[in-house]
Parts: sequence; C-alpha cells; structure tokens
Amino acid sequence: MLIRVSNENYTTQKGRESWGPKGYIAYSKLCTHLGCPVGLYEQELQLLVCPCHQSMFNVTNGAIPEFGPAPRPLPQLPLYIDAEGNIRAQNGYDQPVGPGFWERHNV
Amino acid sequence: MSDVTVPTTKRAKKAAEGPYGKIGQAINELDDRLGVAKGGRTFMDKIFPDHWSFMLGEIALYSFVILLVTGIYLTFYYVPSVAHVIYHGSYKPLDGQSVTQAFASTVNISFAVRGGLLMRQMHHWACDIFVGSIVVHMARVFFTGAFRKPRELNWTIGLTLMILAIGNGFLGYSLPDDLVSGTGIRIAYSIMESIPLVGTYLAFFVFGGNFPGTATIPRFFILHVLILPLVIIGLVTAHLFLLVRQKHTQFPGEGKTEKNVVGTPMFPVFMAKTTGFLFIVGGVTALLGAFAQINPIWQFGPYDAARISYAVQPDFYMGFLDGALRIWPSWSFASFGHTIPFEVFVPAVILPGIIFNIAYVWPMLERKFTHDNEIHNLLDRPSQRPKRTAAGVAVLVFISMLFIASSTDLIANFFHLSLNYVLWAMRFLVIVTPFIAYPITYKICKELQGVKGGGKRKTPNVVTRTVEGEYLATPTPSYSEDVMEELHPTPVPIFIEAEPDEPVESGVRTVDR
Repeated sequence: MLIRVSNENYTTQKGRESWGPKGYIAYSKLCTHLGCPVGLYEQELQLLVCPCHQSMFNVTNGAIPEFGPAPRPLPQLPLYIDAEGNIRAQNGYDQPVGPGFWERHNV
Repeated sequence: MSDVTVPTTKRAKKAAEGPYGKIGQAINELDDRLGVAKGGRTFMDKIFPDHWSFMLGEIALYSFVILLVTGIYLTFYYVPSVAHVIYHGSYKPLDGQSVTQAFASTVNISFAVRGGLLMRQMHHWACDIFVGSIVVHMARVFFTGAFRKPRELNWTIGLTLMILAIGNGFLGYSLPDDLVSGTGIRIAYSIMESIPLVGTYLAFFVFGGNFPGTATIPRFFILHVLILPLVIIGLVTAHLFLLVRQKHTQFPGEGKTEKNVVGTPMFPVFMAKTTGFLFIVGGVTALLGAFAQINPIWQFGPYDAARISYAVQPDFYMGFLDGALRIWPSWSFASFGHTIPFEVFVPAVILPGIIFNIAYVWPMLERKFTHDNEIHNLLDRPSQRPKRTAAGVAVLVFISMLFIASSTDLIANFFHLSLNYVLWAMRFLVIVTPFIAYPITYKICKELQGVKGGGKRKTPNVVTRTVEGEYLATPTPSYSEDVMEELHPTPVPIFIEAEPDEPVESGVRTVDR
C-alpha cells in the first residue's frame, strides 16, 4: 500500500529515516491478525482499518495497531526514488507479512 | 381339455387376484423370492410417538434431501477451477473482466442456466435451514434429556453431523470464488496456520500450498460434493438406524411407561405425515429460493487477494467464530524464535474445541454427577431438570453473544456508537450474561415445578347458575392424555393382524420395547 503523508522525507519510526522519500511510505496490506487486506482508510485519524475484524493501524508512526485484535504493526517497505524519479523498494520487507505462525522468528 | 377355468367376467378376474388386487399379487411375488413380508410388516407397524418437537430432526433430514437434489443440479454447471477466463456472459457489468472459471460458472448458473439461480438460492437456503434445524433439534434433545442412556451414541453421531454440516457449509460457501468467500478462505487458512508446531504444515497440506493457491478450490469442491456428503449420508443412516433400533423417546402421559412406545404406526399415519412434511420443507425452501435473495456473488465481484468488501458477515453458523475472533484481545506470544498467535489460536481453535468437547462428553458428565445409570425412554420436561436446563441456556446465551459480537461494526454504525464501546460491551456481555442466565433459568424452572397443573393443557371451567342466582365455576378434569401418572399399558400384539382390520381411534397404538 503506497501512501503519501507529506512533501518532506517522512520518518515513521527510529531507524527508518530513509524509508519514506518525499513523504511516500509503503506498508504491507495484509493484516497481521488473519491476513485480510487492510483496505479502509480513516482519513481524519490517519488510521488504516481492516474490515474483517476492525484492527486499526496508525499510518504516521509505523502502522502500530491502535485498536482491535491485530498483534503486530504492518511491515513497512523501505522506499527510495531513483535517478529517473521512479519510486523503488530499497529491499524486501524485514519480516514476514501477514498473520503469525509457529516458524516466524521476528518479534 | 384342461380343468383350469379361465375367469371371464371382470368380477371373476378380480376375485382370482385375491383381496389385495394386483399390488397384493406383486408383493406376494416379491415375498416368494425375497421374504419381504415379515420385515416389511415390522417396519410398517413401527410405532412413532408424537410431539411437535419431534419434527425438528425431520426438518434437518428433509433440508438435507433438498441439498442433495439442488446440489446435483449445480454440479452440472459449476466448474471447479481457478484458471482465469475473460467473462463475456449475460451479466454486463462484469463483461470483459478476467475472472476464475469457478466465479464465471457460478455467475453463469445465476444468469444463464435455466432455473440456475433458483437452484443456487434454494441450495444456500437449504444449507442455512439444515444447520439451523440441527441446532434447534439438538437443543430439543438436550433440554428433554433424550441423550441419556441408552442414546449417548446417537447424541455423539448427531453432534458430529452438526460439525460436518457447518464444515461442508463453509466449503460450499467458498466454491463461487467471489470476493467475500475468498476472504473467508484466507481467514480459514490463517486460523489453521495459527496452530503451534504443525500449523504451517497443516495449512500447506490442506490447502495445497501457500495462499492463494490453485489447488484450494478443486479440493474444496471434491470435499464438498463427494467426501463430506458421503460421510454425512453414512452418519445420517446410522443416526436413523439407531433411532429405529432403540425406538423413539416419548413424553410422559397416559399409558406411557419406560417400557412401551405409544404412538402412531409407520404406515399409514407417520408415513403420510412425514411425506407431507418433506413437501412442506421443500415448498418453504423453494419460496425462499424464489423470493429471498441470498449470496448475490455478482455484486461482490471475483476474489482478489488485495481487495476487500466492507461490512460483510459470514453465514450465521460461522458467526460465533467470527465474533470470538473480534473480541479476543491481541495477545500474541513471540519468543525463543517462535510465534504462537494466541489472538487467533485461542478464539478460533481452543474455544470451539472446548465447546464441542463439552457437548460430546455431556451425557457422560451427567451420568457421573447424577449417578443415574438407568435406561430412560421417557423424556424430561426442561423444568424438571433445572441444573441441566440452566447450563444449556447459559451455553446458548454465551454462543449467541459471540454471534452478536460478529457484527460489532454494524452495531456501532447503526446506533452511532464508538466501535470501542461496542467492543468492550461485547467482551463484558459474553462473559457476564451466561452467569446471569444460569440463576434466572434455574429460578424459573424451580417456579415452574411448583405451578399447579404445570405441563397440562388448560381445561375450561363450567359456570353454572344455582336456583338462588349464584354463579359457580367448577373446574373440569384435565385431559386424560395429560395425566402424568403411569397407568398400566393395555397389552397390544406387536404384529397387528391384517384381518380383520380394527380401526383404532386416532391411530394410536402401544407396543412393548
């Protein structure tokens, strides 16, 4: 999911200073509760809402779950803007996307 | 010249056929070869006790018959494949879209196949009726104590049937591969994945790889139309066999004892009633299928892992699971290189596991606590067993609250409440209401036990006027069938002689067990 939150470089969390070039930030759309697409956006509160079980994720601070049964933030995809002005990913997600499972290492 | 006289007149021909005519002759021929008369007679004379609540299981049976018939029709046109095709059917809003064959064929059934939409909607309605009537039938069996010795095995089979019905309902709901049902499969996958240690392997094994795979729909199809129906048919047969073998329970009343069965025989009374009932269930399902829209998949659109619809609920029998997933807090375990998603595993695996297992062992639990190891053929009135009734009501209230919790977002929208308040209210109500329901039910049962003439129909008072002009209201005695005392049964032969056929008033007969 690509969201533009400002015109400046946007930092959602410490250590992610370079992940949001020109205010473009990207999150995985798979809810960390049961894997539904987090498809609703509450604009006033800047919350992403999952229509399945109403988990809400705060866009501005790294998609930390603020409400509902989801246990983890949505993983953020580090972005950069290349020389031609295209938005690209620096690399993949730093953790598995979607719901939890036994073999998942990342806390 | 032969001695055999060939009957010439119509009357003489008829006389030669015997008292039962051509049908009697045909049955005679069958009996000569297969010996069907003895067993057939026993079956025809099988006695069924009568009470309106005994029809609930019949609703389940007949809605299953409708499911089979409409389901067979649907298999002629449904294509269980997720291969993509460009839709060019008669539903123009979808024209030119790339959809799976499963979705395209389901839309085709709805718009192009003659009677297809009717069959689809009847199938869906019959499934909801099937599961619903099983639940109500089970409640009847529970509250009247019909599960007690010797019928524990049939309780177990019935409960298994309910779980299979729910499971097969979910599988069938998933087959159209529409946006809503696809999200349901996604959730089912995540639930399976949440099981510690084996979850990932189990999900890969069942769904044929990671989500969304191409194997899921074909697998669900074969499970839905062949394997689970066969298991269900087998268990239904066992359920009915045990019912016939152990004979149906009956409510206490005149002439009814633990050792007899008072009711109407299979032929002609019960057979006529139950066949009529099949047509009523079929008729109601057909009316629903014709006039009440259900699961309009063309409005939802094809499944796409990145898309989702808003405010969609699963079929009602999945509601309690969805509600539990909504209100359970986000407690996850993640340490030692492993994650246990308790926020999914507890409400979606542990909780239904506990509910169904308690239901499975309930007959044993009750035997243990009441030390009652007798054979019971007479049913309880729910008020006679206040503890059991109160426990049953508490569990039903608990599940109903979970069901209501599956629409927290709708409730919040409708009443203009904060979703947070609704969520916390439901968390509170799910835990508290069963504890309120138990003592209230217990108290009501106790009160009912004390009511004079409880369980008997009201009888009129005869008002008379004396010579002095005084009015007197004299209560009339209660109906003889309502008298609870055990009377001595009138011995009646198990085999009722065909000749002479004595007409029994109301067709009620009594036989020994």
